[in-house]
Parts: sequence; structure tokens; C-alpha cells
Amino acid sequence: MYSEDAYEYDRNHDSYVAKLRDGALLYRLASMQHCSREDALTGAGSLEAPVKGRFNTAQQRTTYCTNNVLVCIAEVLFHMYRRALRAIENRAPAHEIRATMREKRCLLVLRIHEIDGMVYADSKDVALDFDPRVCGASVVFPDPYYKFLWEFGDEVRSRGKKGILYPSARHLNDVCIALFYDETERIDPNFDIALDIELRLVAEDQDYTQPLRSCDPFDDKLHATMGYYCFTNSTELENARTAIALNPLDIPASGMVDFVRRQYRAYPAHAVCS
Amino acid sequence: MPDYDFPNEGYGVAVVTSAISTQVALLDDEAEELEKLRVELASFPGTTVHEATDYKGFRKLIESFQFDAASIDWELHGVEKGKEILGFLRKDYPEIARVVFTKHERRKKDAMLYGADVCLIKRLDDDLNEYHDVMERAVRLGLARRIVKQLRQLGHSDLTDPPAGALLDEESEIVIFETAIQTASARRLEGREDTDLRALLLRRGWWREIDFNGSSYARSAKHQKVRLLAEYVNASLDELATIFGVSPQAFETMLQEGNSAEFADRTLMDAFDRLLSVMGYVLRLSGYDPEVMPYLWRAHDLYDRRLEKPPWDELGLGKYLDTHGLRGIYESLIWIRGH
Repeated sequence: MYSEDAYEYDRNHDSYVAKLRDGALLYRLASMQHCSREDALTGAGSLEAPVKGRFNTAQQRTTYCTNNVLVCIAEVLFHMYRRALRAIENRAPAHEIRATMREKRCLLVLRIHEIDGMVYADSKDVALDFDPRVCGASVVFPDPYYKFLWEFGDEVRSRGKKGILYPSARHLNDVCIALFYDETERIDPNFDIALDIELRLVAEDQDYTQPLRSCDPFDDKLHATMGYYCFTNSTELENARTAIALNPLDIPASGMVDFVRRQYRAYPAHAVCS
Repeated sequence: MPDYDFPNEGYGVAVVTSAISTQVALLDDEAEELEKLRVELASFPGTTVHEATDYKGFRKLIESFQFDAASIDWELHGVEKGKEILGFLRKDYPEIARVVFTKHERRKKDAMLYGADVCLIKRLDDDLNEYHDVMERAVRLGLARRIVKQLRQLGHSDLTDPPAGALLDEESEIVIFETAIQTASARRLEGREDTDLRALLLRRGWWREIDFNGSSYARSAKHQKVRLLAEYVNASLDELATIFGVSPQAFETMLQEGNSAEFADRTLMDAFDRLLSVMGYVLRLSGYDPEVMPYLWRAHDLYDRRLEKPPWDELGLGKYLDTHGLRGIYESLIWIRGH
């Protein structure tokens, strides 16, 4: 069952001390190849990747997950969008560019045992104790990564901390979680939810009130702030709702979401155009 | 999908003969002979045989179905009709491969002159081995002609016509296969599939219809995913075993059971996991359409204009892994994850 209390961090943004309590749910959009519980929190993917993430340099073990499904979706959509632009810029063949428009993934919902020794990045103490550049504005810088955040990540690692909780640069609510160690053993084996989900980039002129139309990167302008998701198995989704395993619980089965931070008057109703 | 069953022919003409679906017209006026030939032809996998005993019936038959080859008796009910039949086929149905099967040795020259692709003389000992081989190749000739015709309509004007008066050699067939697969796959990837070409390739056994179920795939164990993806890309067990430097038996055990004594080595297990990621990338590149995965697995020089080419581009992914082994898997994955 999802509970906000399972994520212990200072909502007043003073202290950096944070932890994930026993029973906390983590959400992660895994590839279809590696969507088993055994693979979910190993951080092995980034170990063999020459690319950097927000808090990891190349080949540095890190698992990124969240405590909010929409944060997961927004983060992946943003990276799909960047990959599409990069493919065009790099003169990738047409099929490779087209392939960036759509991804099938698995939303893993993992219940974990306590992970203590986390650092909450969006806190005044982080600026004082770790790096003054990590502050309210910079922690949600919009680019995929910045050098000072890697240095901050290294500093957190060097102090033996387990990971970082931080606000998403793509979605206002809740937090992202970067884990620096293989935390597979912290996963509760008695809880197993995986939902099929499809993500798509959309055309700039997509009418939100109309069904999604296919987007051709060679003809259409890509929407620079929104993308589409769809849970493809409604039974699985309902089961997850019944188990109160989703945050937000009433996330629509499909719709368009922002991948930029934005205030919503009603949540999640105004966060998803469905 | 059929059960796990790698095709045997790997990189060459990846003919999955079991999937071929053809129609053969059989014309002979002698009931006993007709029955013998019908049984022989019906033994071809995926072949439907339609028969006639006279020219009129034969014409009606030809007009009713789409045939790939015709087996023609030169003399019907005491009248030599071979020339007329060949003329009719050449004029109205030039794609159908024409095999004259006659007891008249002296008519062999005429048959070839009037448009037979092959003329076989009936043997006194009733041995049909040669006939069997010729008809099997004739069917492939007929299908090749249809495929080339379709490719021409799609703009491949440089493609050489399959021969008339001879059967198709393997080299020519490979060229047709490569062109057809490339064209069909590229068009499908671009969202402008030619359904006629696909239908022909399906009939030829060069294309497999696959209904991909992402949900059950995602829930499979890793070794099952590799097994499925290997089947999708049309990689043989030998090729995969070569990449890993293990015996085909060891690799098969790994694919079937998820473990194998030879895979107790951590290096191989890690490489197996990386191979899954590489194949998964091909699945995503295909737009989750496994039907085009064999093309993406084998195609080379796809990234001519790309600023940072993948390491496999010169050889094609499958061959690159074949020649570079575990290091090749690693280098490929590094490139994929970096892009």
C-alpha cells in the first residue's frame, strides 16, 4: 500500500537527512528485457553505459526510480524526446529516428525494506554541508545533467550515503530517488506488480480531445513539453489500484502528460489530459 | 509462433522451407501416371496440387488459381498439345514455371524451343527422383518470377529476370531474396508496406508472420527472451554458440533451461545478459515488429550518414557479433547505451 510517510525527508527543505522506510513503494519504468525483480535495483545498466545521468558519470552504478508513477513517465518521456532530437542531429537512419517515437516498457512497483542513509538534495543543509551550488533552483535545472551534480553525487557517495532523494526536473510533485548501490536484497519478494505501459512522443498539434494520432518525426513537429502514455492492460491496472499500489491512485489509464514542471490546481486530474 | 526451431541455413538464403505455400498444376491424360505424380508433388511441404487430364480442363484450372509451376504432358489423348499449352502459358501466365514431362525424347528440343523451362523424359523404371528435384526448383522459379515482377513495380528496374528455359541458380536466388527482404522490410519500417510483396514472401517461406505479444514476452525468463529474439532475428544455434565460444549443445541447454555447466562462468552469464539487451535494441528499432528483425540483424551500411556509426555497421550486427564474439556484444551494447 502506498503511503507518503514511507519516504522520510524534510518537506520544509531544511535537513538533508532522508530515508526510505520499510514498506516504501518504488516505481521504475524498466525495459522489457530487464523487468524482473532481480534486475530492478542492481544499477547494472548504468555500469555499462558510457552516458551520464543526473547523479552519475559514465559507468557509475546508479538506479533511478521515483515515488510517483507520473514522475517516472515524465522522466522517460523527456529522455525519449531528447533521444529523438539527438538521432536527427546525428543523421541517424530513418528507422532509428522513427523508433524513438515509441517505447514499450514495464512499470515495476517494488516494495522495499528500509534504506537508511539517504540525502535529500532539495534542502538548505545540502548547500551548507555538501555543495553550495545545489539549491532550490539548480536542483531542478532542466538539462539532463550538469557537472556540479555529478560532483555532488560523488561527494554523497564518498560519505557512504546510499543515495539521493531529489525533486524531478520534469514533474512538480513528489520525488525521484537515485540509489548508488545494488539494493536487490532490500526488495520485498512478496510483492510483485508489473504493468505494461506504452509511451509515445506526440505531434505539437495533437488535439488533446481527440484520439492519439501517429507522429512522424519527418513531417510533424514534436511536442516539446508533452508526451503520451497508456497502460495496455486494464485488468493489471485495476489490480494495482485495488492493492493501493499506485501514486497517484487515480492515475488515468492513458493520457498526455507534461515533462516540464508545472503547477496543477487539481492532481492528478489536471496533470493528465485524457 | 512455432516452437523453438532455428532454421538451418543461417545467413545465406534464410529459406524456411517448411513455411512455403505453393500451387502446382498437373496435366497428364493417363490416370495411373497422374496419381503417381500427384502423390509425388503432394509430398512437397506446403504444396497444393490441382490436376487436369485435357487441355480444356487445364486452361480452366490455370485461370482459377495462382500457380507457381505446371507439370505438362506433351501428348494428350494421342494429340501433341505441348506447343499450344506452352504458348498459352508463355503469353498469358509467364510467371508460371513450365516443366514438360514426356515420354517423347524427340520432343525435348521442341519443348525448349516453344518455351519450356525444363523438359524431362519419363523413365521406364518410374524413378521420379529427378522429377521431384526439378519440380521443387520449378516452384521456386515461379515464385521468384512473381517476386521480381513485384519488385520491378516497386522500382527495382535493375533486377535481372529469372531465366526462361532454365531453372534458377542459387546465386540469383540469393540476390532476389536479399533485394526482396530489404525492400519489404524497409517499406514496412517506413509504414508503407507492400502487401502483395509480403504475401509472396510469406508464400515463398522467406517471411514469417509474427504476432508479437509484448506482455508475455516481458514476463518471460531471460533465457526465454533470448531464445525468442534469436528466433525472430533468424540467428542459428551455431552462430550464437560461436559468438559465445561454446558448443551448440551447451548453448541450446542454456536457451532451454536457463543454465548450462559451461555458463557457470560469470563472464558468459554477463555476456548472455548483454546479448539480451542488444537483441532488445533491435526489437525496439523494429518498432516492436519482429517481422523486420531479420533484416535489421543482418543489414549493413545502414548508418552511412550517421555521424557516429555503430561498430557493427560495416558487417551487419549478426555477422559482427559472429566475428567479434563476446567483445562484440560488449562494444555493441556500449554504443547502444551511449545513443
